[in-house]
Amino acid sequence: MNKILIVDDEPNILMSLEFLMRKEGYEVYVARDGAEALDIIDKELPEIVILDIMMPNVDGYEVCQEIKHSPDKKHIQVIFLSAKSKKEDIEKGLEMGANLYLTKPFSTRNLVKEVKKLVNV
Amino acid sequence: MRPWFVILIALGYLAVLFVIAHLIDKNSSKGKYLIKNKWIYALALPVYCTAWTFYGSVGKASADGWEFLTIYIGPILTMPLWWIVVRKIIRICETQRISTLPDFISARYGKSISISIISSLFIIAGIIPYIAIQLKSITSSYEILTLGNYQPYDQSTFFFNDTAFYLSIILAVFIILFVFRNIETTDKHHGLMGAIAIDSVVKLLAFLAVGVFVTHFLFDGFSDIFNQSAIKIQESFREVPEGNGLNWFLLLLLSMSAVVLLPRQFQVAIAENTNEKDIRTAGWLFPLYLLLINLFVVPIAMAGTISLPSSIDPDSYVLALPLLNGANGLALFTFIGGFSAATGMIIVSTISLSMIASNNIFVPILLKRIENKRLYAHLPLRSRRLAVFVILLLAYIYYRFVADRFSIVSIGLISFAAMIQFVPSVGGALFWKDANKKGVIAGLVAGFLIWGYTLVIPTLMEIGWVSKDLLVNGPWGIEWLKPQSLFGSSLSPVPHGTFWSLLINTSLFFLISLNAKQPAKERNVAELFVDIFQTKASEERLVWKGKLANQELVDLSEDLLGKERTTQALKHFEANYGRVDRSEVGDARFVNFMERMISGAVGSASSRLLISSIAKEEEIEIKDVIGLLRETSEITQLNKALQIKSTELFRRTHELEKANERLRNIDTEKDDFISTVTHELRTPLTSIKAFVEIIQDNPKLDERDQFLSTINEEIDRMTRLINQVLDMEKLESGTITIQQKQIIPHQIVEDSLASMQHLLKSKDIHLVTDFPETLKRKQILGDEDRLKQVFINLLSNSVKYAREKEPRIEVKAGLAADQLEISVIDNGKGIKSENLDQIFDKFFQARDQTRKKPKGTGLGLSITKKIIELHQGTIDVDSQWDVGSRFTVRLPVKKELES
Repeated sequence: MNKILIVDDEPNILMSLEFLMRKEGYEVYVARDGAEALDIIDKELPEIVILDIMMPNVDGYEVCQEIKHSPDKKHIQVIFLSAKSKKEDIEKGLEMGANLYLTKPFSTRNLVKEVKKLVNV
Repeated sequence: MRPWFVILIALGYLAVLFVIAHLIDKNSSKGKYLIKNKWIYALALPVYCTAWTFYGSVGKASADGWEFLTIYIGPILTMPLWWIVVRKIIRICETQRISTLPDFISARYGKSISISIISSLFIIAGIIPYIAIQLKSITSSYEILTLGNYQPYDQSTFFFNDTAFYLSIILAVFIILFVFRNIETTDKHHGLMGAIAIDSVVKLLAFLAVGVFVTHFLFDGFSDIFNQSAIKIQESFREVPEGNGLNWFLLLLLSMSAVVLLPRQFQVAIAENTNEKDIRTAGWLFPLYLLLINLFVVPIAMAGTISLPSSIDPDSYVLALPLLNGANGLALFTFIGGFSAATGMIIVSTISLSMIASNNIFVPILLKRIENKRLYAHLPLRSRRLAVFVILLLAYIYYRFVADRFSIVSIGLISFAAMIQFVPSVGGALFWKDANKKGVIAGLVAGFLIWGYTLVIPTLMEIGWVSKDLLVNGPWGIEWLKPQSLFGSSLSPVPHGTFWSLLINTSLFFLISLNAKQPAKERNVAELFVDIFQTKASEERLVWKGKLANQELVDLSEDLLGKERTTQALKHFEANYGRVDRSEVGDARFVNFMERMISGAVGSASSRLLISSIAKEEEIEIKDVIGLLRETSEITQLNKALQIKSTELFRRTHELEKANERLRNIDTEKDDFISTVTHELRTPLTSIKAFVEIIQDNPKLDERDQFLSTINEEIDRMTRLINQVLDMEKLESGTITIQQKQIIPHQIVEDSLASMQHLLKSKDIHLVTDFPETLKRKQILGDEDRLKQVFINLLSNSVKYAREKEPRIEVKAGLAADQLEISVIDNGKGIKSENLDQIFDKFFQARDQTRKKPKGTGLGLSITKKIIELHQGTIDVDSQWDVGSRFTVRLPVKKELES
């Protein structure tokens, strides 16, 4: 079973994402901020991380950088899911090595489809 | 003491001065100065203190009590005026290249040769006796030191045996070697000034040494001397005799004018000044010097009368006291002190007088006589050198035949009385544009005739050249014309002569100036002198009309100043006004400039004569002068107007920039606000969209109700945000007004708490209210709903942030300076001090875009603050990390609402 980590500081968004992924049959982990996320990544080494950017303490950019810069983690697929929708924000996210950048509000159906694609690669 | 030893010491002292002067000159030509100029300047001014001060003050004090002090009090009193008067003379002399008093006067009054010659002759006649008494003091002190006493000269003594004669020659050589090497009189003589400053120090130290020796070694302090002296002497120092007021006043006037106008004073204070600011240092150091050098005069005078035989001249007490008491070393030092006082005076006076004699008498007369008006540098220079010898010779002769019979002070005062005759013309030059040449000539001539009649002729009677009958009965037996009591006036001789000569001089000066027509050319210079501190260069302020080829002007200058100096001057001019084409005819500016350059070498009268001899000049008329004046003042006004305009423009530009900046700030603030608001809206929208899709895709969902109520919550959140944004907008733009009703704040707080009762209970919060009875009835003017909004906001914040365990909220009221204070206090985490300032900013929590706020819209506190401000109140926050926060609202209580 593929492990998926969802990181977001908005409890309701987290709740909806958790529901969606669990329903798709993934083993789902959740984190409320970047620091918590890094802990889980170290422990569980998930295949996919769905990452919000604006979070207290450690933000999404830092988490992504941490993943893409360590040899044993850089295979982890990162999906940014953020309200930051400006062109330069998206470019910055992709330059950091994220595999996908989706903006909020997002389509649940599209997200499910994209995650499936990434798992199968 | 052996004569050769004394002579050797004196010559040695002079030699040391020579060497120092030479070293300073050598260094200053390289631009190096050993001591700051201001100290040298301040210490050169005491060249005022001559043998008169060194020997004569004691003599004067033993004869007339305190009167000797007038000579020093006068200069001290004038020092505050130096910044106004002397600085102005310095500025004029510096810009017009003037270095002597007759040149100053003739330059101002029509560059007149007659004024130049008259004033020069008067000055020379007035000062030569003064130089003579310095020679006398040196000779007499030498005699006392070598022979033990001093006898007035046997007229038959052959001058080859006379020390004073040789001394005169040595000093003449010194002056020629060190001063007159160069044609230009306006060059500064740094070496000379240094030597004079050293002289000042030496004479002061010597005098103080004698003073200390007398009061503390010969006697037992000041009071001891006083107690031992005769009753008559004591009386003379007890008080100033009554009725002496006018005497004293006139003596003060004499010394006040002498300290600036005496040729040696004019030389060191004005011609040698290198920086006007040096006057400030001199302003305290010179008076201090005068005080110190007078400290021991009275004790020495008293000690002399007590302990010395009456055969000794009181003018010699200073030297006789140490000598006759066996202190030979001190006596020798005293001799050197007196020697330096006398030689300093002789040297500087002779320099000044010889420049006057050559530039203001000899050269102009010569120019009038020679046909082609060609003048070469060697001529004025040679005449100046010759003048040195002539002046010292005249002084020597005067000393041999006249000065020997009189006390130092009596002769010196006559010189002072000569110099005070120049006060009206100098004052007019500085401050009165209508003063003119005719007034000056009339005043000066009359003043000097009366001076000669009242002060000089009586001294000639003393030596038997004129019958004493004149003094007793008056000329032709006319009593009221007696030289020492004109019109029956009874004053001491010097104040008497001063009074009448100055009175007639000043009256004629004013009367004739007012009635005589002032030529336009003179008017032009008068404007320049009186308004010298205007910024415009003087060559532009003077009118000149005529034809003169530039080449001729340059040739003239080269003849006199030499090629090098002329090229330098030309460069200077060209730097300011552009190239001078030698084949062209000169314009007024260039002619004025070159005339000034030539003045520096031969004086203004000669310079004028030279220029007019080579140019075809036209008479200038008053309208030319006025035309120039008007032009200048128009330009000045235009400049002023332009300046005002440009500052205005600058100010406007600045304002515009600021306004722009403000607009830009408002713009970015608006942008920030909008992007923050849209972002804040996106978050609930995201949840809503996600859950709606989930419910759509999963019709038979267990969590359906939970998800639907979540959607509902998020919609509420959006509504709240939209409402608050609109509220904020309305408050800020002023589209809604705050009601001004009489309301009771306590009631509002109670209502707010009541509406939150449910929330407080559900969170199990411990609520403490502390509202004093006296304040419960207080009323204010305001808007009930808005204030309720404020308190609900503050309270719900407290609820949100209060500690989870044992949460506690306190509401407190108090009164401070007509303001009702209501605080809401929680026991939560608190706010970090670095954030306290921003807590009321819109979306502060969300401002840092990568940090998310815990809850709320981020607008609550901004709205709260705005509402309080609209009530003329204030709100502030006080917080301690881990202890809690306290928000305090202050609202003004209206006095008239007190029940």
